[in-house]
Amino acid sequence: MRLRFLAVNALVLVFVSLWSKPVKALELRAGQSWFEQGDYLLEPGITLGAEDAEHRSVRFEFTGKTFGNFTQATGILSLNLPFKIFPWESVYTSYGLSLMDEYTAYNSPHGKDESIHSMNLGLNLGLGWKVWQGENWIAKLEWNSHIFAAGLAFVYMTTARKTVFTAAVGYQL
Amino acid sequence: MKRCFPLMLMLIYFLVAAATMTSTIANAGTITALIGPPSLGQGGSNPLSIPPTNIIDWQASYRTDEGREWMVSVIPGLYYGQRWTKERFSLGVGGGIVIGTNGVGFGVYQSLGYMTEAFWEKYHFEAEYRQVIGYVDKAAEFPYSFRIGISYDL
Repeated sequence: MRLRFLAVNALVLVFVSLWSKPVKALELRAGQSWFEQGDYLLEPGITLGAEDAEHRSVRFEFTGKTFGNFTQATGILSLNLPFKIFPWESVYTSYGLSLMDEYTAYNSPHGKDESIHSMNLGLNLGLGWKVWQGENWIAKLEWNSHIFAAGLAFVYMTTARKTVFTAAVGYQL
Repeated sequence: MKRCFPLMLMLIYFLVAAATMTSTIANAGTITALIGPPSLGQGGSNPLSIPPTNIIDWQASYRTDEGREWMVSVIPGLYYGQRWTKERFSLGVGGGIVIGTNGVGFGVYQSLGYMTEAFWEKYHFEAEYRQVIGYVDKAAEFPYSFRIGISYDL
């Protein structure tokens, strides 16, 4: 499974390198991520993202696993805006909106297969560090948290949260 | 729950001592009391206690005008950090003692807060989301809290 993730990331980077332009108006990045979904366990996943010159970005984070007859996957698409507040150039923060799809499927060995998509809209908070920056390449570590209202239970301040740790490499077009 | 009270008392002593040592007439700071259920690793937070008598739901903090912040709560714990404020939003990072389901350890946090304009001269409504990474009993814990409440300018 890890090899598959690495292959996907490598393909994205090759695609980006073929598509490069002289003006650095867009940064595309891909990387390995680790999801914590409220159970204190870290699940491996992938992250893909695109960021413009004003540091506004769109990010897609995905993790999934199959155990027995069940398949479980979480995908989060987020819009992230910069929140320039730290005095250090290499440390950055962001905030924004997150759209999450939690997918659960049951592959019945005898009867009917079942699956469900559960969508939720939330807010996110991100903290990142530019570890290294070359002429076109950039390496980043990020700690992003997404918080969602848990339906009507939010009246009692019940929430759900996904924390995603990411190590990503980006290419500036 | 009975074991929480001596611990909470220690945390309050710490907060009072920190506030006493750092506050001056020129640098009075702000105190806050926020309420909201924390998450303990069971998938999300439990509902807020009604009436709000469960000490686990509460946190108190003191911060200076320069943004240095001391925060006490049963969960996620006891923290010191720095806040940077821009317009009405503030972002904080810091570290301290994480109190989790497996015991006590060390942790770091990131937080995002929002504070309204003052009413009755010195009061503000405040909301805060705080995410912790902690190391407790040879394992990582990730408690968080979303809380709302009141702050008061000293």
